[in-house]
Formats: sequence, structure tokens, C-alpha cells
Amino acid sequence: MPTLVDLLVCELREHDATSTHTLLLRDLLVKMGAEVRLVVERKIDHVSDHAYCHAQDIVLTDRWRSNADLTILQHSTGSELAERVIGNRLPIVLNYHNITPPELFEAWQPELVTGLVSGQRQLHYLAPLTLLGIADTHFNSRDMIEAGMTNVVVVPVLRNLKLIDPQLFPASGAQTEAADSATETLLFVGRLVPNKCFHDLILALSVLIRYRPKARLVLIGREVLVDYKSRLEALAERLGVRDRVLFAGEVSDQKLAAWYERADVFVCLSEHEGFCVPLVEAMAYGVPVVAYDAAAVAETVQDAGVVLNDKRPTTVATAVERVLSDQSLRDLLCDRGIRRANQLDVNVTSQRMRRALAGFVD
Amino acid sequence: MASSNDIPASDHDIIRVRAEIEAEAEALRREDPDLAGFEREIERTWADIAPIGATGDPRELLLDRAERLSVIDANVPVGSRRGIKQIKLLIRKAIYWYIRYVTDAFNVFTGVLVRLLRNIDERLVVVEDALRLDDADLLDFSAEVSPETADQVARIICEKPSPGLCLVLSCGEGTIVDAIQRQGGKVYGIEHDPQRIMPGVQKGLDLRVCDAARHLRKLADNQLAALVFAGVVESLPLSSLWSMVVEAKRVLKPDGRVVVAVADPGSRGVVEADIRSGRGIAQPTWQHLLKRADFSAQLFAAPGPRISQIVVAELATETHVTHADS
Repeated sequence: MPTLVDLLVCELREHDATSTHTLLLRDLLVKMGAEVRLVVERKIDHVSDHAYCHAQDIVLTDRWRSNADLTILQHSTGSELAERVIGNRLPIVLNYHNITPPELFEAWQPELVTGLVSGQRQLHYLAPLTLLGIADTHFNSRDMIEAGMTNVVVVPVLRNLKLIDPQLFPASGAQTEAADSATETLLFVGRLVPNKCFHDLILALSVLIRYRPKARLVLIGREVLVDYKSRLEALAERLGVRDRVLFAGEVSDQKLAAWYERADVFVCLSEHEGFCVPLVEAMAYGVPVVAYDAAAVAETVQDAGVVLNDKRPTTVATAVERVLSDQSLRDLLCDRGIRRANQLDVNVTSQRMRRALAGFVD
Repeated sequence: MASSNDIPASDHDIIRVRAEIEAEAEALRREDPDLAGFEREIERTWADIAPIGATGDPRELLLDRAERLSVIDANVPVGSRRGIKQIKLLIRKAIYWYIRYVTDAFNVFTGVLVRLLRNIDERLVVVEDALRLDDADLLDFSAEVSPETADQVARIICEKPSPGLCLVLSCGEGTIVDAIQRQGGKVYGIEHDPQRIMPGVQKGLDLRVCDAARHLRKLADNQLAALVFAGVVESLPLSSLWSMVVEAKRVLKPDGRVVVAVADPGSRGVVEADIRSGRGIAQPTWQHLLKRADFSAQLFAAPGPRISQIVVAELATETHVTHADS
């Protein structure tokens, strides 16, 4: 009899790192001989049309009966699923993707804080039920150890970089927004939330254009707080760089590939990242990375990017200018970026995940 | 564990680039007052646009907001569906005199509070201006520790079989970092002045520009095997020093070690004693502070010239500190 595995995740959403990771983990478990049920609280409709996710695989929380041989919970915010696990005293493998510190949302959207605080609380209640903790990074593993978990391993987020392979999606002039080669393009990809500090990117751009008048900033990502975006637009307007900032929103894999192809530098000034998949994608494309040393960013980038201690606008602009003008540095970052991304490709990381789960799936 | 504070030796070229960038940015700010002003202005623009509490608001802006928000409008809103609106208007009319009385009393009270805050703020600015010396050259008394003393510190750090990661606070040009690295220790240094670290960075040392206290706060519990207080930390106010000692206790491993290698207050010349902030902390006082934080701390003679003694402390109170130079 194959091992029956329940894979619990809060929601499945396209272009979401945790969702993609969960689906790849599902594929891996199937390859390991397990029978897998995906249990979700919320299902975003179009995900079931996704190439590797089928509606029949998915069980909604209210129909879920916990009778599996193994339960794996994806934890990144407070969830009803975690409450069910705690209430039923269910032994689990906990796959932790970090919880954004609630204080980063307090001023913006207080109602989001509840879920995050609840997620932090649940982590402590989950600790005695956790047979094995899997953290994306050593940074994340600290939270698990602090919560009282003793058996913790680090396995990076599963991400199939081939999904945005430039050979699959050649830019070939089709992506006209990205095709403007006359400008230096600074790129960042991530949900439009304050902890990712899009505002700091705009501030840095306003200093950079003193030296690079044609530079532009391209921001890709799903809008989560409408208020944040409108304030970012107001900021760009007030600083006179509104025409140099493109809010591209959530884009298809093809468009994302085109932007990575076109970008001159990927800049990440987030205050908090538990892993940051877009950093890996940028490195896979050989795009030089400039980032601020916060949370797990330095661990993800390692020696493949310029990781700054300080993100004041002049410092970031100086770093970007250096990367744009120093060809030998660009080459170095490009080579190391590709090497680092290869270390984090699903072919490598799934082997680590397989080893971690070997004792649980026959 | 790979983190920003545990970078393999092969990364030194990137560390050098980072240090060069941070030093260049600092130089740009110093040389171009327009740029420094522009940077402050754009940061203030964002603070103005973002919701209250979303940024580290400058105090003037906070005072402005406190003033605006501390006023209660007696004219309560009545906008609503037609019938309800009339009822609301009626209620407002009936209790207006009372609401007005309460809000006037409150607004007078908050007005006094804000005026008081502004007054305190103005006085603080005067005090800060009086204490500030803009010419960094006048304050440049941060002589590098002698190679002999650096070697002694390095021996103390590296005498353990596997010393683990060491941090040198106020590392200057990196003489102590260099000495520890030469003796096989894994080490990096923190210094607030980007220009000072450049010679060490060019030599391939891992020196970073950062505020010492802020950096300590960012470190995880039990992350360091050793911590060296060097350079100008003795000029910090007592409260800051005490916070750093408490943080040191948190970030050190249970068998971790603190070494204090700072100049004797008595070694200051007349000019330095007059100009430099603080009077310096003598080594016995360091010993006292460390003991108050549950370290076992001992003094050892140092070769000088400005450092006559170094303090060596360990967390385990029962453990007696010994080393080759005792």
C-alpha cells in the first residue's frame, strides 16, 4: 500500500512561491511512491487550470478527514488548517516559509496583523506535534528552534526555474514594454506589500537618475494593498519620476521571462524575506543582484550579489551605478548568479527534500 | 550556517566591492551637501505620504501630525440617508453645547501638550547642536591599536581548539581582525566610518560599515564565539555601553568570550580629553560592567602604547579565564 500523504496549504495561487513549492512537493511525493491529497483552505479558481494542478487532486478544508499516514503542513500565516492540526493533536511534518513580522503591516492594514500574529502563535502550538521541521533557510529555522522544535532541516523552496526558461519564452521583440533597449532597467518582482519596500526603490531611483537620466524602474507583482500602490504612485509623482516607474502588475510567465531578459540589475530592498524566490530567478537569468541585507536575503544570494548593510537612497544608487558601469563586476555577478541559481534549482533541492522525507515515505 | 555574518573567505572580492560602494556613497554625501539634503528631502517626502507609524518619522513631522490629530472637531458628521440625517442633525443640535464644551476643554489641553513637546524639541536641538562638531578631523583621535596588542587579543581569541565566529566592534582599519585571521580565526569587523576601513578592505579583510549597537541587535542568540570591543566604543554614553554588554551576553555562545581592548582614559592628551566626547571608561570599570552582566572578567597587562590592560571575560561564571599571556 502506498503511503497516503495529506499536503496542507492555506491557498493555491498562480505565481505564488508557496503554492508552486507545494505542487512540486506533491510531484516529488508521487515520484517517491506516495498517494497525495492536496488540502486547501482557499482555492483560486484559475489555479486548477494550471498545467500541473488538477482540480480533482484538491480537497477543501471542510471536507477533509485526517486519516493519512503522513501530514505535511505548509505554514506561512495563521490558518484554519493549522488550528485543525493543533485541535486534533495530529503529528506532522512542518514545512515553514516564515511569517512576515506583523509590525510591518500595522500601519498599513491592521486587519492583516491578526492572521500573522495567529500564525506566530500557531507555530509554538505546532512545535510539540512536529516530527520533522523543514525550513527554507537557516534564517527561518531559527523561528522553529525558538518555538521548541528540535528536529529541523533546511531545504530551500522548490522552484522550477525552467518555467521561466528564456529558451521556452524568447523575448523576440514580442514583449514591447520590455524591449526598450535605450534605458537602464532596474527590476524588482514581489507582491506589492510594504515590507518589500517598493518605496525605497523609488527613492533610490530618484537619486540614480541624477547620473542615469534614462534609468527606469520596473515593478512586477500582484497588488495586495491598494492603498500602498496609490501612495507609491504619489511618491513617484512628487519626486518627478512617475514616468520612470512602471507598475507592471501580475504578469504571465512569458512576460516575466522577458523582463528578466531585459533587466540590467535586480534590486531588492525588502525589510523581510524568508527566502525570496525572485532573487533566484534573477540570478538564473544572469541579472546582477543588488540587495539589502535583511532577514534571509544574504543567505539566498550568498556571494552572487552585492548585499548592502545600508539602503539609504544614495548608497543604493551608488551600488546600482557601480554594477551598471563596471563590466568585470557584472560578469562576476552574472557567473556567480547562474551558479547559485543552479544550486537552488528544483533538480538539486528536490534531492534534498527527498532525503529529508525518506524516513516518512516508504 | 550561511548567513550574512558567516561569509566564506572566497567572497572577499564582493565584500570589498560592498565596502567600496558604501564608502563612495558616504563620500558623496560629505562632498555634495546638495545630495545629502536631497536624500533627506526625499525620505521626508515618503514619510509624509506613508501612513503614520509606517516610517521612522522625523520628529518635526511627528509633531506636526500630533498637532493635527490632537484637535477634536465638535461638528460631528451627519451625512447619511435622508431620514437618518435629520435625526442626526437633531441630536447634534440638542447636545451641541455640551460636545463643544468637552472638545474645547480637550483641545486646549492637547494644544498645551503639543506646545510643551515643541518647546522640549527646540531645547533638544540646541543641546544637540552644542554637542555636535561637524569637522570630523577635529575628532579624529581613533588611533589604530598596536600590532602587538592586536596579536595578544588574537591569541586570546584563538587559543580555543575551534574558536568559531568572532566579531570586532569599532574595528578601524582592521588590525585586530587581521591578527585574528592570521592566527586562523573566523572573524569580521564593524566600523561606523567607511573611509577608515578601506585599507583593511583592500587587504581582503571582512570589514563592514555599520552602527555597532544596531549590528549587535540584528545578530541571533548564541551566534558568536567571541566579541572584541575595540576602537572608540569607550566614548559611548554609559547607557549605550551597558546595552552593548547586555547584547553581548545574548549573542555569545555559552562558552563565548569578550575581550575589551580600548585606550586608557589617562592616555588621552589635553586636546583629546577636552574635545572628545565622554571621558572614556577605564579597564577596571569595564571589568565591573561585565561582572554586573554575569561575566567572569579579568584584567591582563597589554604591551601598549595606549592600551595598558585588556579585559577578558567569559559567560560561565565558574570558569576561570586563563591564557598564554596571563
